[in-house]
Amino acid sequence: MPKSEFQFCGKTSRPDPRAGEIGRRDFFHRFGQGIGSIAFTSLLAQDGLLAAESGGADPLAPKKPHLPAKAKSVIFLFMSGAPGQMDTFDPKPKLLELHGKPITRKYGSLEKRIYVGSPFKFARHGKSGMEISEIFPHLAKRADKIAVVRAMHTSSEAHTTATFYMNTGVTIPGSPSMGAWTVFGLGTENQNLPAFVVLPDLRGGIFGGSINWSSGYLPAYYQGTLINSVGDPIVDLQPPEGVTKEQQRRDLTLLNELNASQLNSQPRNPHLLTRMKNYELAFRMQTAVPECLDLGKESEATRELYGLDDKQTEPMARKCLMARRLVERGVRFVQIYSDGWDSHENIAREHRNRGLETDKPVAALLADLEQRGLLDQTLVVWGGEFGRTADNSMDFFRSGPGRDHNQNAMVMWMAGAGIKGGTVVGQTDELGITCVENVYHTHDMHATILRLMGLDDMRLTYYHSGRFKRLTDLGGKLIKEVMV
Amino acid sequence: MRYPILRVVPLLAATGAGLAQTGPDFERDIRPVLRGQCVSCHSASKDQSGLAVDTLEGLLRGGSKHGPSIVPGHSDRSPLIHRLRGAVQPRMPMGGKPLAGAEIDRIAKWIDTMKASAGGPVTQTKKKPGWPWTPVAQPSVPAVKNTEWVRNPIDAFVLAKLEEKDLAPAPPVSRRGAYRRLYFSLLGVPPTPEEMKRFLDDPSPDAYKKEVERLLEDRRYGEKWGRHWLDLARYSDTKGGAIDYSRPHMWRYRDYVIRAFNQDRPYDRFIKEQLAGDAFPNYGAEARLGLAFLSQWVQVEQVEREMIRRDFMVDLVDTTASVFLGMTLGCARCHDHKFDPLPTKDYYRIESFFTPITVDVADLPFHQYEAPKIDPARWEKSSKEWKETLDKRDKAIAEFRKQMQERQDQHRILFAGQDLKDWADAGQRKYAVPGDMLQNKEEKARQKLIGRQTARFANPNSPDYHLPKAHIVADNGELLDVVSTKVLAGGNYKLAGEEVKPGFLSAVTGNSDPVNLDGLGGTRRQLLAKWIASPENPLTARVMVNRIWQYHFGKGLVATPSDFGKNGSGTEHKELLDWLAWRFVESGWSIKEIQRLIVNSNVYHLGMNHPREEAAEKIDSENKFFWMRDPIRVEVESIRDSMLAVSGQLNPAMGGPPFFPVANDEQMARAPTWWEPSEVKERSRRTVYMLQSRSFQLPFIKVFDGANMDQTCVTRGVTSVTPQVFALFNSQFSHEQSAEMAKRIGSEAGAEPDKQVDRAFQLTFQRAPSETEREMALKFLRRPEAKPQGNLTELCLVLFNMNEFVFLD
Repeated sequence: MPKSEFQFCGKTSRPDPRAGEIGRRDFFHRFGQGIGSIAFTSLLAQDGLLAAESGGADPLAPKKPHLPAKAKSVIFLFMSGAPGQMDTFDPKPKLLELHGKPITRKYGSLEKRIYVGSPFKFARHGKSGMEISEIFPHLAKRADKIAVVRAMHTSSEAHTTATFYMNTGVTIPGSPSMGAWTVFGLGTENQNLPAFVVLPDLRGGIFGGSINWSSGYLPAYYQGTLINSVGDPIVDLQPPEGVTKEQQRRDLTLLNELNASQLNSQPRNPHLLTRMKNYELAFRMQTAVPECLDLGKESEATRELYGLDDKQTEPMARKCLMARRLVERGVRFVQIYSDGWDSHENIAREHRNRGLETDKPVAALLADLEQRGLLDQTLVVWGGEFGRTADNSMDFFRSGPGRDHNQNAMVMWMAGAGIKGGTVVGQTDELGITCVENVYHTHDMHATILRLMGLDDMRLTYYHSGRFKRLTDLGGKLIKEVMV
Repeated sequence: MRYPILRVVPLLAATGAGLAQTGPDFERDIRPVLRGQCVSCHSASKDQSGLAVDTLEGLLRGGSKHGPSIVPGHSDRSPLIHRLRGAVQPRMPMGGKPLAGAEIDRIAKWIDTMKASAGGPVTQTKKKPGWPWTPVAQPSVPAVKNTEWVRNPIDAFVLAKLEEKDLAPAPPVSRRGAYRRLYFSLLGVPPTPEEMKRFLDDPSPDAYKKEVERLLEDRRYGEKWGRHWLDLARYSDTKGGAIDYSRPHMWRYRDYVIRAFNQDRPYDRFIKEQLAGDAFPNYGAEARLGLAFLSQWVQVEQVEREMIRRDFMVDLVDTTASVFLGMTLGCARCHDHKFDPLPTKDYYRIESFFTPITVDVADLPFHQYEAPKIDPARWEKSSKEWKETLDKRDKAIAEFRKQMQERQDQHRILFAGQDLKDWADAGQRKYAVPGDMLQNKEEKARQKLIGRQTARFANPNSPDYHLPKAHIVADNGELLDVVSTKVLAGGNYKLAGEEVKPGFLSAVTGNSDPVNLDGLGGTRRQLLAKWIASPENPLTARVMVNRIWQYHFGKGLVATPSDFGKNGSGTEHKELLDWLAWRFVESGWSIKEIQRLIVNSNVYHLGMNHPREEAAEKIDSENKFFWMRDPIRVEVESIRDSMLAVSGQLNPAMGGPPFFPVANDEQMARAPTWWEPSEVKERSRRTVYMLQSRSFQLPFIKVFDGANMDQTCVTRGVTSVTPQVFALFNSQFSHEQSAEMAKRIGSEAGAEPDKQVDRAFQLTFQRAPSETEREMALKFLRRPEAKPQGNLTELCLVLFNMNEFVFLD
């Protein structure tokens, strides 16, 4: 590999040849030279042609996966704050017996704590008889579609660092998120929409903010785009008020003409052409993004299915429905955040409310994807940044029992493309405090997601800061039990 | 072009340690096996029977009971193999699953292929490391054929390589292009049309040289070059992490940096001030302002206090080594550096200089060269206004809260919750109706806003900006009694091993001796600072001249400016780099002197068109030899500053607390942070004075590859991505500046479209429009317009978006 340098902030890196940097430059170089400015302007006028022509050299153009892929897109449902495993998918009857009993142990400091039994009832569902908490009645009907990984664990017990961990595989800012890695590996199917979309919970921020969808040391075009599910979806996607489409079109035409007349002034500068292309793409995005996010054309049945007209389910319904519309149009990676799972206090009320807010929309997403034939090519992943404890501090217990942070056991589920539905993987101890059998780490989840997308995590590397780096630098084996 | 298959770089073992070997490799094949199976009992940090098998040294040294574990060349005589095969009991791993036969065979084969060294003890460094560890000597300037092309030694070095490769330099850029390059290079803004005209009309042969001198003395120079240093210093006005507290006095460090560049402060002194300004009283209060370099780390939420301290130490060591020494010492935190002669021990020996460090916000009166003293009237006005803004806000908040409280008090009811008996005070049993149930929509929004305004977290609208305080560090000797510096296995503080004393990089000094701390008055950091800032240090000058080169050319001679190691880019230009480093030290560490050489060279003036480009491309497709100039993308600060300069809105006021830019409301509402924007004149200052918040970077800055300040930013990216279009073509800021520029043209060029077009091109690009451009623009202006100056405003917007606005000739 030549020692060509692709540089960006904070680091200097050699490109992975598959990033297409070198190829792109060669392409634009030849393209830019061989074409007169007049011919070029007319080319631009034929909307779409340019995109198609340059597709092969674009860093976001679809790329062939390393291995046969099961999934084309990922929808990652991030339950921010961390749901309790024993209140959702990992029932612990023994804990009910111990409810209210004290225990002295170290949580930060040595303290007296009280065991908390789950306030929720579990029942068996589907052919597989999967045990699911009563807070997810809709999802329970789709038990045979999901594979639950019970013996998951992670490496941090603080929200921010654990959220970084889940999204980037490390606790320190500066590394690419799994969405960025995926797009780096596969490109995207729709050039008029962002390849990696993040739909935040509008009630609160995301622990650690944009680091969670950052491209880290990868080139900037792989970073996630934050799309607000209400209001302006992308910052400055639309011009200030009073600026019409016609005005923008005629400004762009003049800009294209002026730029085109200088295109040959710097034959070795690929950016001159890229920028021109970007203006056309941005102009198309102004229409494509709102069209994609416009839920107005969805049928009454769909609105009802997701719970779009119910105040409590509306925010999550909106995001889930948007996610479906995004993957339908070829967006590679969508991440949805749902806030409020950090139930230190009164888990009975809090987790129940979270269930009421998210259960129907999430179950609807699975159903909707399936009925449209999209579930075969979409991987859906659900989970938080860590798990929760079996016990609670005295103070919180008094005001309403809840659970604290626990990195040693957590639960996640997967559904859709390449997933063996109705599976339950791994076992935690009888109180759900720590994993004991078929134990998997969040790194393993990363490896598995990549593999289902057709990417070999060991081959998905990028040269940075002196070595080839990976999403799974700190480990990562496949969770084979969930895979078809 | 097809994508070549990724070449995997084998991890070459640097631990050959006096032994030559072929076949299995210790680092690659053996150590992982031993690490996996044996280190729970026999590692450097946990050596039962005195045995550590995770290093070659450990195996050769062996345990305390049975002597060396391996006998090079003789697996049959190596106790390690006997134990693994079970020939000698107890079989290892004790109580564990025996290794697979194939694995043991591989280890045996590795031992057999080892050759004992010619004699002497096994040491870590087998031979003296080469460039860049060698001392900087003055290289002779090479002879070239085309002597006419050589303006100064830089040209000779570059041309010699070009001639060697049979490459010819490209014809130079136009005079106008050169002048624009110079302005953007040194000041970060374009010249005015008048300045351009004066320069082009100056027939004297040293017209350009005179301009170089003038611009080097222009105070805007520090605002441009200070920003480069701030990138390296990971400068931020906030602490980062989810909580993102303010560091409200950081602006004094920012101003300190700008001042240092404007004064061309000797780089060795600049280093000493930033690493140990508390130890050089003769440098005055200014030096203590430099100490904030050490207080820039990102303080993230951590459960354990030790982790917070570790984050701090890691930041200090990594940043110091990266910024000043161009070494990825951070790799050695967990294991000996795989490529460079940087053993883990060296990492902790460097860390040891920082062990007693504590951070503090201390009283430090403003000195005569700081903003408050330079322009007391402006300072007084701005601090008074800031106080008034906050007072007014606080009063309004108090008023609102009182109103809400009164309303709520009327609705107190007994809360029918559980466990009331637990509440000691009967008064507490009264719970109010949740306040928000009594509020209308506006009041709710107001309540939310107040939450943001009064937040302790992520609230950069701090009342403290104008206090005469500074972020400094100091050594606390008592800390040394509690914490000593120990080598941490895998960088994990729970696995503390051998204790180390402060010492310099062994690859430079040739030994691992600790420094002598006896009789040292003041901080031990001064020893590190002096060692780094010494002409004898082989790395310091080389690394800095490379950075200066990088900020002029877009890429360094070493393209990985903070990695001069084996795994960095390396360079084809060692002699040039050494010559510059030598010159740098000789000139008294003068940054401006190096820049003077660079911008006066012919290499700097290379054009972007080459008559025999295709041939040149074949020889050197990456332009490593500088046969032409690479594209020059204007940095985001300069893009924004240029828009303000061209529109006539740029407020030249220097220094002082940061201004708060206008951020998109909706985005701001969801960011972890919030601030009230400054008034328009204040926020029309140069971008270097904009609030640098870690939890929210303005989209305009971010999309144009602004520096991410979580870590030291070595190289800005040059990307062209779609969101840049939204920033430059759609943002309120762009439209405002276009309107201002149209107004300016209206008043300067009158109402005649022809003159307006001329002026617009002159202001933006300091040139007349070409005939085609003029035609297109006139046609555009002559359309009927909906509002006065509407067409002209649109034309200005288009000019801001042209390639020429962000890429120089």
